[in-house]
Amino acid sequence: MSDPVTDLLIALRDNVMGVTETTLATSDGLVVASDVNKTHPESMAAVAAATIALGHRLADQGGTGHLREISARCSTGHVIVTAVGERALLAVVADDGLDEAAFRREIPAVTAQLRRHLDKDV
Amino acid sequence: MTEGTKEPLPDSRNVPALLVALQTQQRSCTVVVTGTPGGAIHVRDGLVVAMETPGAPGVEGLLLRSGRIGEEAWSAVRAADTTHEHLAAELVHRGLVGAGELEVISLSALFDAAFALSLAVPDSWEVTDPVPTLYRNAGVTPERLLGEVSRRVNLLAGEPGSVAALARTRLRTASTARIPGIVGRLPARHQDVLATTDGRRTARDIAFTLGRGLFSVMIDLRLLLDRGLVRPHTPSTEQRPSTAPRIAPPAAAPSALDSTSLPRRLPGRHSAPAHRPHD
Repeated sequence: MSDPVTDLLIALRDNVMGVTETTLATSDGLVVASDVNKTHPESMAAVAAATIALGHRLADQGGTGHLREISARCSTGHVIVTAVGERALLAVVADDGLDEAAFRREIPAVTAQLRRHLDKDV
Repeated sequence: MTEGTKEPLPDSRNVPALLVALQTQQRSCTVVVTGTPGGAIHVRDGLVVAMETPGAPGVEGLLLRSGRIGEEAWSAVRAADTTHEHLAAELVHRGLVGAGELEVISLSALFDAAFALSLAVPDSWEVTDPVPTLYRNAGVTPERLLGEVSRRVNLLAGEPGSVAALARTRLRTASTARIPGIVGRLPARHQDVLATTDGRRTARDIAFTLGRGLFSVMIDLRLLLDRGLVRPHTPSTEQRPSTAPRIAPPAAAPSALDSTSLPRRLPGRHSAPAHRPHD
């Protein structure tokens, strides 16, 4: 059951306080792996892919450089979508107590590791 | 501009010692603590008035998660006070929360955050200018804060280190909780906690999910643990198969030339089929 990609998602939940669910998806919205309990990974993958595509357009419109992430800040939590290379994205659901400092520390390494795994796919 | 910045702080060995030094100097500041979890300790005139940490729900989280205040009302309050200095006064002024009630929530969130921070060793800390925060209390002395934290730790402690371990443990419902009639007899508070123990959540996660304090959730979890209704979640054993070479452990290797071992077949010998009587 447990493959290195899913292990990375579980490790992210273990290492960053507040992270509750994660879905790794392709840029066209198909689920690659998920560590979820409540969210529906297929729906999250589809919506996150659409969101990041819009994010790229937003960044273009704003002239604000390369898109790093898109985050939805809500009353009792956050949904943060981060690009994982060109082919994939990571959607993270977190509660309102998210340890943002730890998240900022961890996420570049996690996306880089995920990217290395996905780059091996042919 | 703060008068305290003129007076250098003595080197403090730990955060409580720093808070005592800040009290002596009557400083107003925010102490930013880094660690897992880190946090911010808000000090006004030497007294601690609020703490924020990812380890325990803050006043805002408690008010919103529990449904005590609606999102719309909260947005209106924040819009009315763009400095965020007088959020508490605005909440009371609008009649959204009673002054006394807000003071109770503010103090309990403060003690709860102090308890959560006490469960981890901070990496470092830095004294910064005061950052606006939501609080409504007269402030507590570092001594009282420490006293409240140790009272909480003592109430939970079974053996040393067990409180921090309990805070980190992901619990799941035990099979006994599925016996009809057992859960129904529990108070609603315990039933709520039980419903959120899914093997993924720590006590802190449950506190955020329910909009309750970390300490009170941990007290409930300790009771549910004692009654055998929840137990620590052990990660699934359905692991990927090992790719390590399949070899016999070294202890059973060739040195044992004992008579019980099977004869080894060597290439070139015994290759001719043995005569069998029924051929």
